Amino acid sequence: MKAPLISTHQLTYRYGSQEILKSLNLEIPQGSIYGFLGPNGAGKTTTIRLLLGLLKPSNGNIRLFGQELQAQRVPILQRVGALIETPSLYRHLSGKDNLEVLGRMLGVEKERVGEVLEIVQLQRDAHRPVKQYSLGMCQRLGIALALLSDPELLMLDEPTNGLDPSGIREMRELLKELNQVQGKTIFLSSHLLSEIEKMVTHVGIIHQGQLSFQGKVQELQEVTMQAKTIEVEVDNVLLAKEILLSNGHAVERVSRCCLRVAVQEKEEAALLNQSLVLGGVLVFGLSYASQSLEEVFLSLTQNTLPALTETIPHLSLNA
Amino acid sequence: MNAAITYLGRGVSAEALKIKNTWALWLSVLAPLSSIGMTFLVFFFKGHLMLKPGTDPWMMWAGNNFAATAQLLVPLYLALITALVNGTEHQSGGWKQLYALPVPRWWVFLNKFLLQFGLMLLAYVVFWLGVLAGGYLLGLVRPGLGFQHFHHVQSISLNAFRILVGSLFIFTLQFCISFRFKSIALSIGLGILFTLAFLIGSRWEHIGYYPYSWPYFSSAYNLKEAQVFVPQMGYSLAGSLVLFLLGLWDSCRKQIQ
Repeated sequence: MKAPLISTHQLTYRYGSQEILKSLNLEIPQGSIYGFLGPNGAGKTTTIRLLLGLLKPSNGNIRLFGQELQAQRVPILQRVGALIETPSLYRHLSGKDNLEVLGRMLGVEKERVGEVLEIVQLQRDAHRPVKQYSLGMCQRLGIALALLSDPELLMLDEPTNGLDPSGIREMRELLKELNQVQGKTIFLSSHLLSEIEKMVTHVGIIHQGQLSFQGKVQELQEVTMQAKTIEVEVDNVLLAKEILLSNGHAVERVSRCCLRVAVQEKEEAALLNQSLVLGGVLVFGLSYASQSLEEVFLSLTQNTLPALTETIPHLSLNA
Repeated sequence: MNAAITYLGRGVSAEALKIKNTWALWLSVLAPLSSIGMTFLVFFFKGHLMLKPGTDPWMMWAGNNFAATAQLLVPLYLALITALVNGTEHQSGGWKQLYALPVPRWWVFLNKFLLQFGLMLLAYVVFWLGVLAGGYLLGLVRPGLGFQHFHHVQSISLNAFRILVGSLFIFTLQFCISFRFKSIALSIGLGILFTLAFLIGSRWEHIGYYPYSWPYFSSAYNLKEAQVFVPQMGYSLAGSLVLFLLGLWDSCRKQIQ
């Protein structure tokens, strides 16, 4: 098995007394499009900044291309292109001049500026000042800046941020092409699974600084198949919850009289009903449902469903 | 060593492109010219009332230009130019991109420092040539003032150089403030405040130890006894070197949040 292109071991970052990242073990395979998902404030941007050497880890280590980042920062960054949050653009300069500035710093050939403008389809607007660009054009220019040194690895922080649906589709096609045609490994972050699920090959889900899931998209889909729930309507929610928890079920309170219980099979509904009735709880209704991919993602990143996630064996891949 | 020079060459050239379409270059030319232009107009219209017939007019001409520049123009120009150039980086959120480049971390600080030092040098060259050209032009258009009968190229050049050395500390301090802090208002505001403090305290016996007085003391113009070095030039050189090293060290350990 090939060594991962990016790997972190017990990566921890503290800002003051606050622990932003907690023992993160990332593994990004070469040639993959790795979607790094999590709600706002989960630690995605901090992770990317750590991977680029912009921040110093409080603990743990980072390896890119099989080398320690801290020891080999310059040679590693020669193989990386990045877009961090909003693109860093000089708004008084044209798109071409922005690329020229970075091109001079990196010592790339002038022809490369034209090439990347063509890749992101900004040739026609290259001479206009960036202050006249739309948000989508700025994002595309940001990608062009990241591509300028023709890097093997692209790190893109929320590249679809602020884009309309057609812009998101264009970005998706562009990234797929860069991955499939040019063989670039892409590590991109997003807070919306729906925006990236159609292009990524691997997914990492981060929540409150911890990795809740890491693996191939298919593995996440398998989790989806297994993530089935039964909604139970009862007269006494507290008592029902206590009975179900004591029976080893993962339970979430949905409303004043309704609970959601994670189950493996639909047939468990009968046993669940029986245990509640025997425990003295009146059951008014039982309804069966399986979670969508989006719901699984939400269940992994929302505080309201911690018990539910604990029952899914695939989700803690930190080991 | 070669790699370092290559990095610097690329970096300064990129930094120079960043100031395209900004006021930075114009400010470096117009600031000294505005001061000289105003003094020129005064001499053109009222020179005959200010100068005694037969005396060397260069003394007053150069003295007026050097005094206004050293006391007011230099600190304010340096506060503005450093805030403007470093502010471009703060506004564009460019630090994260610069520090994620495959170059040593000291490179970011040094590139910006060298570019702005170059702009300061340009302003001094414009000032130096402006003082000489203005004097000779007055000799042509107002021959009655007598500029054409005296020549002080060497002493005026030396004095321009002395102000440059005397203002190095202010330049480095203003550069470090605007590099470190995002707020343009803060760096310009501090520049104004420090300059005002000098003007208010200019009669204080120990004012010579105050950095914002150093260009003025370095410029104390005397055509006959032009000393090459005054203590304030030494303070400025040593202080700016210490500040530069501190700023460079701080920039290398900077974390980009």
